[in-house]
Amino acid sequence: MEQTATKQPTGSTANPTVAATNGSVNGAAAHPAPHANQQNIVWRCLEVLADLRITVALFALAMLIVFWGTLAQQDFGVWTIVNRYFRSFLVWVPLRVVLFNTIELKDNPFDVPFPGGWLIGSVMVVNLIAAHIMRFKFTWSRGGIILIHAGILIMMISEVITGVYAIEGQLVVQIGMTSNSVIHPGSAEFAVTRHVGVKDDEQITVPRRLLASGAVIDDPRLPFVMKISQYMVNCELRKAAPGDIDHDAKGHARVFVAVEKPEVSGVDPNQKHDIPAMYADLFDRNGKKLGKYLFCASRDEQWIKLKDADGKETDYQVVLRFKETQRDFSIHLDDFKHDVFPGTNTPRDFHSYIRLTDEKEGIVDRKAEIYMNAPMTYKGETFYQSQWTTDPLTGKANGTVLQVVRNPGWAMPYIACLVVGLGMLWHFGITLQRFVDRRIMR
Amino acid sequence: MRIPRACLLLLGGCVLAIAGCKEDEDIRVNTVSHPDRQAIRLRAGVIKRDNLLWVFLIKGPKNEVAKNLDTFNELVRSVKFLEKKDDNGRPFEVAEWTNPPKNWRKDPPGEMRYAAYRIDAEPKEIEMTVSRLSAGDDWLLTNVNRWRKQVNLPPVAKDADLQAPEVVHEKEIAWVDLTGLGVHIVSKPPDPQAQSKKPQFPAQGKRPKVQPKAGGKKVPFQYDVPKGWEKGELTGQFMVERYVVDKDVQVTLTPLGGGDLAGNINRWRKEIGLPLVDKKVADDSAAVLKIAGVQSYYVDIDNPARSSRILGAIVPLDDAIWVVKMWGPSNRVGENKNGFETFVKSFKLDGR
Repeated sequence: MEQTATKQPTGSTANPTVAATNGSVNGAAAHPAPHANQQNIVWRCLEVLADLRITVALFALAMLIVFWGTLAQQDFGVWTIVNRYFRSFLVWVPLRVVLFNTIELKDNPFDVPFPGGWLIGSVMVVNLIAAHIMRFKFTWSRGGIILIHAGILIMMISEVITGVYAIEGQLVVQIGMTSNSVIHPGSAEFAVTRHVGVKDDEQITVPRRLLASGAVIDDPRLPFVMKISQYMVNCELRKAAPGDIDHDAKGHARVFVAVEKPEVSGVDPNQKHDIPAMYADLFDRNGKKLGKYLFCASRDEQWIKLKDADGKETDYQVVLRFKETQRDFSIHLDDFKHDVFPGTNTPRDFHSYIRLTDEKEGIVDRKAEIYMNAPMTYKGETFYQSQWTTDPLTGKANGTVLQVVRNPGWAMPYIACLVVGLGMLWHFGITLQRFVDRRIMR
Repeated sequence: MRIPRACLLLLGGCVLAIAGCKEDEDIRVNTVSHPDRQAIRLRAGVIKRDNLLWVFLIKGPKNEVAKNLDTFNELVRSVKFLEKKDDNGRPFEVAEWTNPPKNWRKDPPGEMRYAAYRIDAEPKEIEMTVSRLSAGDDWLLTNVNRWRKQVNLPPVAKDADLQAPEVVHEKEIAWVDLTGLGVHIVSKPPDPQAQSKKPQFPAQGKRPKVQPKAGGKKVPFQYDVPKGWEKGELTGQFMVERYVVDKDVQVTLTPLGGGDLAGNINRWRKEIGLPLVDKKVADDSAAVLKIAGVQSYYVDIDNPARSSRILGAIVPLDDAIWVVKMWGPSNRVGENKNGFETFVKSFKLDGR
């Protein structure tokens, strides 16, 4: 990257030059000394921030973090790594990864702190902007470089927007049923549900960030207090032997034992999801222990009957599940077609016949079809045909799984590439023209 | 011309601001709406005959079920069981009952259903079904809790919480009557042509004949063994070939003297802890494909709860039914599925 368009004078002699070239600071030169000193400090700061050596160092750091992040996927899932290494300001890199997995260390002795992707990116943005303030003048011959930098900047902003605002999930709906709920398998939550009407449930959700071994969840909105004895990011269930069952075990804890498993690796060929689980002791609001429960995302809800302050009994459904978010519109699945090539299990066509209802927008039963390479976009979300569900008894398809994707910055990488492309055309076009002119002059 | 510094600084500030504005999640209370949920009533009459359960079930919107309750009760009480014999002389039971009214339209049998009726109702018809299920331990409690889940009711812990059976004409009917919340779904009528479209499993005498090979060679096929499969020791009495795909997954070739498609499929379902299914359901679960030029059957049976999976190919020849089976943990079998399919597709009958 070329950043040496105009060498600026340094030190206190810099200001007059700037004042002469930039009308916005013209008045500054005429002001008394304190103002000039302030400008001096800002200028010096910008000078440091725009240092080309910082750019080179940032590129080196970026290469390292990309390399380490890729290597770390041997032990962790893709999204864990993306969030930990790239969408963070600081990352603790295990020594084994720092050494590029070349030495097998049984117990990682320590982690090395390192700037995360967003910190490196932010400093790069500051460095780039400072360099433009300090060194770049807009001239026709430098227009290409400025466009290339603008494209890179757009690309970096698009990653920030994607990281913050993009969502991805699955809408699962069976034939003849309606759903407005999107499941996000990358994250878990604990949900307590009670029916408050024929069509409505009241749902209290505890987010993943509060679920941890040793955590006590005591919130007045919850009908009980929960002490988490063990939280597992990924587990495997096995049938409980009589000796495995604690005397106060309830529900699934009387049938299964959860064995902690390592997080599904980013290089796992099956790319399955982690199955989170937790053991928790539940206590009613009077402090009486309700039992030791096992919650696992692969198992159904469990029911707990509790008395409220008036002595009225209420049934609650409790579950550890993948995070769910609700939409203000619903999708009804009329039918699902799953054709395979004759004599094989190779899919030929998946086809979901749906009806969309959004009462707020006055849409009732709008028919649509979603199939391979023909997604539906509604309210900024795109619904792709992804998988299907099967009846466990018959093995036949009985529902559809639609991948739901929303990314407000989806167009930005395309714009960025276009801008960079134009910039390169501009820059190399001018260089070519100069070359041709020189040849003619000779 | 310089780009105004203020603009550039503002841009940088915006980028940093966006990065810092991700919402921190907390405990939340929401009202979740289920647009198509309604009050659903489910009434079942269960009659146990040896190891089979005859389940008569009507389910639908509460008011619509109530309108048809007397007819349903009368039909279940009228059930008579008659013993018949199949082509091999083995006895089996059929059930008969009084004809329901005309607005109960009979469906062709299919899937899990021994019989089914569609009953006119508003806004959607309701269904009454007759199914046969295997009776395991705690058969009534297991089924009651399955139905309670369908109508969003908490499970019951013991048989004592259930209604006492009614004895009618020397048969015990266990009645289950549940009202809860759920979604009323009407199934598609079974395709009466479906059975005739699928080639039947050929009876002995109608299968391709293979000349016995000299030299005592047991396997009548030639095939290509995928790379990495190691020949293993035989571990079963009838097994003639065994390949170790990896430490968890293996493939065997076994000739069976008899049996049919459903029998084999149900045997495998049992091996991996899945419930047994009706003959028709088992037959329907198999894909038909040519192996060694012979009309053969292929199934993929998975029990994710136990992480056990079986891929099975059944090649019916005149002297034996050849079974090629891969089994192991679900994910490991999945990884080797392509290899298994390539393996069975490479089969050629000796001398052809």
